[in-house]
Amino acid sequence: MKCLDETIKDLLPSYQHQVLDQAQEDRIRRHLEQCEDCRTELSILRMMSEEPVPDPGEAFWATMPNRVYRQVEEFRNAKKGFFDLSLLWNRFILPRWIWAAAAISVVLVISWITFRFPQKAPEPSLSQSNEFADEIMIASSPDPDSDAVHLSELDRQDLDMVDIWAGNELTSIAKDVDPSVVLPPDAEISEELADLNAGEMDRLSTMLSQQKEEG
Amino acid sequence: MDEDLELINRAQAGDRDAFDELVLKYQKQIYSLLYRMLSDQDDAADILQKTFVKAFTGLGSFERRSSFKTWLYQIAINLAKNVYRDRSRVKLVPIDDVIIKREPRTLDTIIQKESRALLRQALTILPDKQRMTVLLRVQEGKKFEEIAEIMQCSLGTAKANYHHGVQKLKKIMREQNKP
Repeated sequence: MKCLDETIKDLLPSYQHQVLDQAQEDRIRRHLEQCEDCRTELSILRMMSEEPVPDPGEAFWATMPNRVYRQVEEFRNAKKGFFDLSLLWNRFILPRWIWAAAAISVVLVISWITFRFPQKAPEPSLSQSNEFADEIMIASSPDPDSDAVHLSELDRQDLDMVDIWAGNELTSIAKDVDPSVVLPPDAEISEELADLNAGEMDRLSTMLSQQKEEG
Repeated sequence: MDEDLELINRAQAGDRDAFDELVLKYQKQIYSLLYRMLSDQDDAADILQKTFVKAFTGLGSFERRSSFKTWLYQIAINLAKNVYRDRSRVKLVPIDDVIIKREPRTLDTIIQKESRALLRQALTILPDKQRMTVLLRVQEGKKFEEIAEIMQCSLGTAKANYHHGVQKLKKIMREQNKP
């Protein structure tokens, strides 16, 4: 029958090691006389504690400190040889709230800079646009030795300046134009081409072929 | 314990004699525990050395709340668990391939040896925690409080592991001894 006396069972190993006081030892002895389950348990405990442990020999015990020391030294030397990342990491170990505060500060500073100084391009002045237009005029001249600037190389600000200049120029020119010179919308392009001389025709042909090549 | 702390401080400061003294003081107890857990001399010797190496290379993490001996037991038990794990991965050899060395014996020694062999076998069937708790309690004579500290569990868990382990051992031994 299974014994349910946990106190006795807890004390059985101590009884077997003979480390109990006299009163406890007597109590367990009386219990064992009438409890087969605990007698079986004690016999198993005895068998286990009597299990012999083979002695590896005096040489084994005597050399153990030296073997351990050598291995510990090897470990320490190997560790010294490498850059210890953990030391670097330890420098950055800070409480979480500091990291959180730092992150919030960075976000706030970036937001303030963005809204305080919006990145708006300055409006080009009329004089600036005129100076720039002169440069463009030079660039668009047919002289191959000039420092030609192609329109595709201009950035947005430069194009704005060109636009302002062109608007001003066209306004003043438009007043002086003879309405009879202006082509009617239904005019044939072939009639206009017929008025061109040989040099102009060659130039037009070169431009068209260049455009065709550029796609 | 204070004596151990002094030896540890000296060993940390590079005192070789203190280092040797700590190894010599605890090596036999730890070896005995490891042999009973692993039932193999080579494994026990190997893990014993590893236990001390791990202890001395990790002295910085020894919090000194428990004794040095308890800390050594913890390291040894954790390393022994790794051996159990490795063994469980090893392919088992068919019983027919095992050659058992027999010695001339009397009837009493045969019965005794058979029972011990059976008990050793029964111990291997127990879950790791139960087996270790039973060995610490029965063979090492540790109190449940110490076992709880070594196994890093509660007192109740240590007692439960012990009782379940012993109940299973009794059951296995009874079944095997049935005619």
